[in-house]
Amino acid sequence: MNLDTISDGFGLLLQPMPLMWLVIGLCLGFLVGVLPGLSTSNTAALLLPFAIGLPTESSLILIVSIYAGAQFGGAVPAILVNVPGEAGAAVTALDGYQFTKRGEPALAIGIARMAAAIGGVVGGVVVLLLLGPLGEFALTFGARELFVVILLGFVVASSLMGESVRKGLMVGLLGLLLATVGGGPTTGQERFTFGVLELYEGISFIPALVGLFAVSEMLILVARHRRNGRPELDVPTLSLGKELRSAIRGARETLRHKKVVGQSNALGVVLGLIPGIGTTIASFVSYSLAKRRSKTPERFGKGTPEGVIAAEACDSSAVGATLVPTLTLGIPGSATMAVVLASLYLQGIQPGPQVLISHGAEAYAAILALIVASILIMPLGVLLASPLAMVTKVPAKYLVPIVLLACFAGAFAVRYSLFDVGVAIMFGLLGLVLRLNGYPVIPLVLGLVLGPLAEENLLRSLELGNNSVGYFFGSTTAVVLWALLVAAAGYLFWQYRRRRSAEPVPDKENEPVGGNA
Amino acid sequence: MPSPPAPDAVTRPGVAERTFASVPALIAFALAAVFLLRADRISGPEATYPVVLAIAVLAVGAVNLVRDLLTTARSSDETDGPLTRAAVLRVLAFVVVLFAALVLLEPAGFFPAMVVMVVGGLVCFGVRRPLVIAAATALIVGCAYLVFVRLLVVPFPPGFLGIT
Repeated sequence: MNLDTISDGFGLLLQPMPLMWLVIGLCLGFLVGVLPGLSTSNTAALLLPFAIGLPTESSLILIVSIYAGAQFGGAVPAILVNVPGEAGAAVTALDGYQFTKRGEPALAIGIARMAAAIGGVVGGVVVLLLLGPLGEFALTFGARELFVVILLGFVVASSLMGESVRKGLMVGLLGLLLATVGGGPTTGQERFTFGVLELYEGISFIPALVGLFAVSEMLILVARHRRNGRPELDVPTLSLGKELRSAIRGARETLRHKKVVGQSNALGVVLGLIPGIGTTIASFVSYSLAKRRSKTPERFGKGTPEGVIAAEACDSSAVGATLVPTLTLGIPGSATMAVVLASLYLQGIQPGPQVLISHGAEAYAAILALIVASILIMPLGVLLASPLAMVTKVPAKYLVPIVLLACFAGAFAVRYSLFDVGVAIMFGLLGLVLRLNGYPVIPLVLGLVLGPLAEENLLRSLELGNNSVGYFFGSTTAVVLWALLVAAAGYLFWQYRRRRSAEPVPDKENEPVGGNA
Repeated sequence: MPSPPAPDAVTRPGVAERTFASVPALIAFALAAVFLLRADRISGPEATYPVVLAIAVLAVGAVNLVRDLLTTARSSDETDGPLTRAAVLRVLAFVVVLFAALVLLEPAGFFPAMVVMVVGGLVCFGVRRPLVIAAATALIVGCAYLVFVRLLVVPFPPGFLGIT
C-alpha cells in the first residue's frame, strides 16, 4: 500500500471544492436513488458533460458520491411504498416494506442507513488495501496482456449485464465496430466518417452515453406510462424527530446483527471485484445467503432487520469494490463504473494500470471520498429522509421532460455541437429498441469506450510479434489470462443454459411494484 | 359525453411483434453492411480490424435474428413485455416531438426549442389543461435557464429570436 499516494489523495479530497462536490454528489445520489425513473448510471452520464470541466479528482469524487448516495436513496421508496428507486433496492423492499406495513418505516430506513454506511466504509477500506498490490501487478501487463484483459472484460460484462449471452455479444461487437469511426489509431486515415466533420474524432461518446442511458430510459417511461394506471402513492410521513430516534434505534438494531453485517460486506466486496456482477446481483445473492444461514429463515420477507441489512450492506460494499477492476484494469465493475471510465478517458487519462501511476492521488481521493460519503450518509440521510420521501411522488409526466431537457443540454455542452444532440437522440432510439427487446446497452457503451484501446493494443501486439498469433501466448501472464477468458466464456455459457432451463418463479406477494435497472 | 380513454389492448404476437423483435439484429446487419462496403477505402490493418468486427456482427446478428424470431413466436419472455398499441403511438409521438425540437434548435434557439419539447412531452403524457401546461413549461424551462445559462454558462445557440 502506497501511503504517500493515499496521503496525497486525502490532501486532494480535503480541499473545499472536492468536499463541496462530494456533498453535492451525495445529495444528488439520494435524489436519483429515490426517483424510480433515474438510475445512478443515467445521472452520472447526464452530469458527465458538465463534470469534465472539473479537475479530475472533483469529477471522480462527484460520480462516486452519487453512486454511494443512490445506494441508500434507492432504499427509501423501496421501504416506504414498495417501489425500489434503484434496481438493487428491490431486495431491500422485500423486508423493508413489511416494516412500513406494520407502522415502522423510520426504523427500516434507520437500519438501511446504518447498514449502507458500514458497507460503504468496509468496501472503501478493502479497496484501499487491494488497489496498490493489484495495480502493481497490472503494471506488468504489456499490449498483448491488455488486449486479452479488455477481451475478458467484454466477455464478462457482455454476458452478465443482460439476460442473454448472444444478445450481449452482438451489442458489444456493435460497440467495438462503431468505435472504429474516425481516424485510425496508427496512420490516422479517415474511417467511416461519410464526410461528416464531427465524426473525424470518432463518435462522441458522452452524447452516445446520454442517449443510451438517459434518453432511452425516459422513452421507456413514456412507453410504460398508463394514464390511470398508477394510483397516487400513499407515502408515510417522516418527521425529523422520528428520523433521529429511528437513526439511533436502526444503528443499534444493525449492530446487533454483526454476523449478517460481516457476511454481507464480505460477499459484496468479493462480488463487486468481479467485473460485470454489479451491485444488484450482489444484493440478491447476499439476501439468499442471509436467509439460508439464518436461524429464523421463515421471518424473511415478513419484515426482519436481517433482510434489510443483508441487502443494503452488500449493495454498498460492492460499490467500493467495483472501483478495483475499473481503476486497475480499465474494466468497469458496473454500469456507473463504465461512466467513470468514460470520465477518465475524457480527462485525457488512459483507463487501465497506468492510472495508478499517473493519477494515483486522484484515484485514491475518489476511494477516500467513497468512505467519507458513506459516513455522511448517516447525518445527511437523517436530515433528508423526509423531503426525499416526498420526491417519490414526482409523476413521470414532469420527470421525463425535465430529464430530456437536461439530456439536450448535456449532449450540446460537450463540444457546443448541435450534431451531438442528434447523436444523443439517435443513440436514445437505438437504446430503446435494444432494451425493449431484452438487449443490454452496457456492452455497447463498453465497446465505444474500450474499443479504441482494444484496437490500439491489438495492432501494437501484432506489430511487436511480426503479425504472429503465437506472440499473444508468449508470456505466462498472457496464457493465464487466455485460460481465464476461455473459463469465463465457458462458465457463462453453462450458466446461461442452466438459467434458461430453470427460470425461478417469483414470489408474487412480496414482489416490488416498480424500479429500474 | 366524452368518450372513455381507449384501453391499452395487448398486441397479439404477429407480424408487428416479430418485426419489432428483429429490429436489433436488422440494425446490426445494416451497420455491418455499411461498414463492409466502405472498408475498401481504408488500407492495412486499420481496415482488417473493422472488417473482422463487421463480419462477426453479421454472424452473431444472424443467430440473434433467428433466435429472436423463434422466441417471439413462442412467447415474449425475454423482453420487457409487449408494448401496447397506445404505448407505441405515445412513443412515436414523443419521438416526433424530440426531432421537432432538434430541428428547431438552430433556427429558433435552444430555449424556444425546449419549450416545444416540454409542451409536446406534457401533451404526449395526456396533460390537457392549458394552465397546467403553461405553468409546468415556464417552471421547467425557467429553472433550466437559471442552471445551464446563469450557473453553468453553457453558450446555447440563440436562434433568430436571440434568446439565451
